[in-house]
Amino acid sequence: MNAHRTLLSVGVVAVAAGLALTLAPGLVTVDIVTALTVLVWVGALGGAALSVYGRFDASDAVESALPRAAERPDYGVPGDDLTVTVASFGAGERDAAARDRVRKRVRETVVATLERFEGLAPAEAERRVECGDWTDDERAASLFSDDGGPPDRDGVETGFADRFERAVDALASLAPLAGVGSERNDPAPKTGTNPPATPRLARGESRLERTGRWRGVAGLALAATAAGVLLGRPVAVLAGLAGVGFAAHGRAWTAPDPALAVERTVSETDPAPGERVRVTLTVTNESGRLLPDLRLCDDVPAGLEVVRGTPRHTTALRPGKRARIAYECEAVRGRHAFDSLTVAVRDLSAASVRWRRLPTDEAVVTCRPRYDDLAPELGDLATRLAGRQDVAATGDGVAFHSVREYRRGDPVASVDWNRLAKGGGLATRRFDQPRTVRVVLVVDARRAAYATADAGGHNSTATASTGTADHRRPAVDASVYAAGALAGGLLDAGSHVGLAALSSRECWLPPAAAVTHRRRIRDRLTTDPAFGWLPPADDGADSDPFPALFARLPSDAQVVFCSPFVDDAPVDLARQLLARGHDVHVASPDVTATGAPARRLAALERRLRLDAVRRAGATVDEWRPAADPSVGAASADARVPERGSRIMAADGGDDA
Amino acid sequence: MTRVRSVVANSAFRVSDALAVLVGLAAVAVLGWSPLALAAGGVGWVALLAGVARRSRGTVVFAGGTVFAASLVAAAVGAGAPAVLVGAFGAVLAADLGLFALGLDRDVDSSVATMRVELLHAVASGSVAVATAGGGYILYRSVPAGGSTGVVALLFGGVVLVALLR
Repeated sequence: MNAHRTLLSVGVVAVAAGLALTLAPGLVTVDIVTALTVLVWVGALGGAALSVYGRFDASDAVESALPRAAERPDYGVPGDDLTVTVASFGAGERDAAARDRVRKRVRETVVATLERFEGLAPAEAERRVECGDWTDDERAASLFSDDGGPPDRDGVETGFADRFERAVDALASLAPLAGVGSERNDPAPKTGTNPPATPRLARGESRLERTGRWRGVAGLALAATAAGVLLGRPVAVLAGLAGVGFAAHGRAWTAPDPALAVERTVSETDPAPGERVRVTLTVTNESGRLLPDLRLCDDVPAGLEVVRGTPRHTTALRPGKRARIAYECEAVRGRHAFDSLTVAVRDLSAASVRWRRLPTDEAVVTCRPRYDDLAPELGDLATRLAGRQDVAATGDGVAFHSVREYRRGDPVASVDWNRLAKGGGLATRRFDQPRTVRVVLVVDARRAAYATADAGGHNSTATASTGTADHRRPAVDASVYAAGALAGGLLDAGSHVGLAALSSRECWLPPAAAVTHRRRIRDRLTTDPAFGWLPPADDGADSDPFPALFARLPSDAQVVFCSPFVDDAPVDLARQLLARGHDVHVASPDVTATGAPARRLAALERRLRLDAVRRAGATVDEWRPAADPSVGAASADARVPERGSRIMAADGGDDA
Repeated sequence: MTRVRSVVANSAFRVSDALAVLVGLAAVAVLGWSPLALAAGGVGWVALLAGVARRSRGTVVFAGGTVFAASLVAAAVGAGAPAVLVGAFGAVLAADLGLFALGLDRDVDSSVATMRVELLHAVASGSVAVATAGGGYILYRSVPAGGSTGVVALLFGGVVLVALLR
């Protein structure tokens, strides 16, 4: 016999005994009544304790919440993960390995900074770090040496976070040109509580949840019973009816299955960036029964921010009745498909909730930004086809290039007769040979590239009520704008231009120069899912997207690589491309922030990565993106020149 | 004619918050003839106010529990059945309404009209309270003297059976 049946038997027997005792009080002797009373008292106290424990054990009592559809995804700021990691460190041995990893990372940055900014040889830089005389701050130096700190006594190390911060401050003073000073006016990284969990449902999926709302309320009945028996006050037992009544109320209902008809209209299907699109949603209850607590949220496509109204609503809906919501969102680059609605229906007691992601007719909003035309400085790698690009090749052009010694077989027309007449011997004149250059734009769209310098916040209420969005914009978007602008300039210069995404989400467009190719490239940049506003799933598939790129890249193609360089993978790619003979040009949007030490460390690491690829032979253009292209004119002012780098002349000019 | 509701501005302080505070006040008020119960209930009601103001689920649950405990105290010192019933059911109802308002906070913005849903929930919970308390009171009054053990056994069995109703 299982526990369920045992409890059922106990319950039935108790009710039967209760009825018998109620109707015939003198049915049993006093001794049995006393024993039963003690038994009930002990059982009630135990049950009450269990119920109260269940009430406060919040592990599975946390209700899911409607999605936060009014905001852009929560992209990370480079360095914030390290801030959270360092803050979580204890002083004990358990975190010793993790502390050493962070220490190694900072040490490598210090050594690289000493080499780059102080001009030291690697061995000398290592020696200084080892000795601790790379900085005047002894506390900072003690992060790597035993002189000023207590590391490693039975694995215990105190004050790690403080010394880490001091070391980063010292680093910033070593690299004054890197723009990573110690100003602290930026918002701190978010390390607080997480927002409520939202149900992750596939389109059309439905799920019934118990909310745990009435958990523990039966304990009130048991507690009241115990108190009544102990005090000998039957009236106290009456209070326990509240527990029984509401516990029964919480179990008597099940959230109804909603049958809803949804109609959605959008005011503009081809808006310009920054233009507001009004979305109106009409929901009709076709389930034939009352929906006592209907909560719904339009699934606003990622990237769109709601700037007026709200896509979330709640109402009680009788059969056949309709509810309508309307909101406005600000258009940004991309093809945005509204095709579902998240619905939550609760029962009368709110003890159960039925979630459903309701499929709807698709309404598509496509926002095509205007890309400027910028031509980068290309290398000499070219095809053998004649073209319009001046490269190092010589041949049948008209512009004089150089003179070399005559070789047998040189055309007679190219012989420098004047030189021969002056007694200089036979020489051959060479002329520039414009060639066709193939360029492949590679946009870094890996998960790591979905980083931003704008921390933003979970404040949908402020967004909706004030009409202002916080414009979180991932580096991928800035890279896409860079690629779009460079594609135009390269095509204008006569290059054959292709497009590739460095991502687990495949995107490849072979180099071409047809009239329609410019539109084809920009369409891909605008609408291809590889460049969408949501990062690719972290399934490990994008851990090494290089081989697919190498397999497709023509051997005579130059590469323009648009990447924020927030991790080491782009450096590896640039080096491998250079090793394979490609000329590499880097256009790197800067999405690093200042403020927290780890953010400054991330900014410095990015600078060092760009230096590394520059030293490897690539040309590098810094790209300081505006907070959001849709803010229009602000984009030009937002770029900050940086010594040692060129700043591209336009960014995100999408205010057409 | 089909009427279509539109979103209108609404205060962040919801109808359920106000109802919770009023019900809690009524529950405490009926315990007033016992200073000890009144003091305990007063603490619970202040906690309820704080929970509603700070939007804290834990504080609201604590407040409900405290007012309920105050009703038991009142029963212990000789309060009548009506006062105990109003105090106990009022405590649970106040916590229920307060928690419902907090649940709305997580799902919808303050600008969304929620009064209809809140009133429906309040009426449903209020009906349960009135029906259960009324039935219990009638049973209590109709039981012959000395039948309190039977009531205890009935209640205990009821709780066990309710727990099994899944």
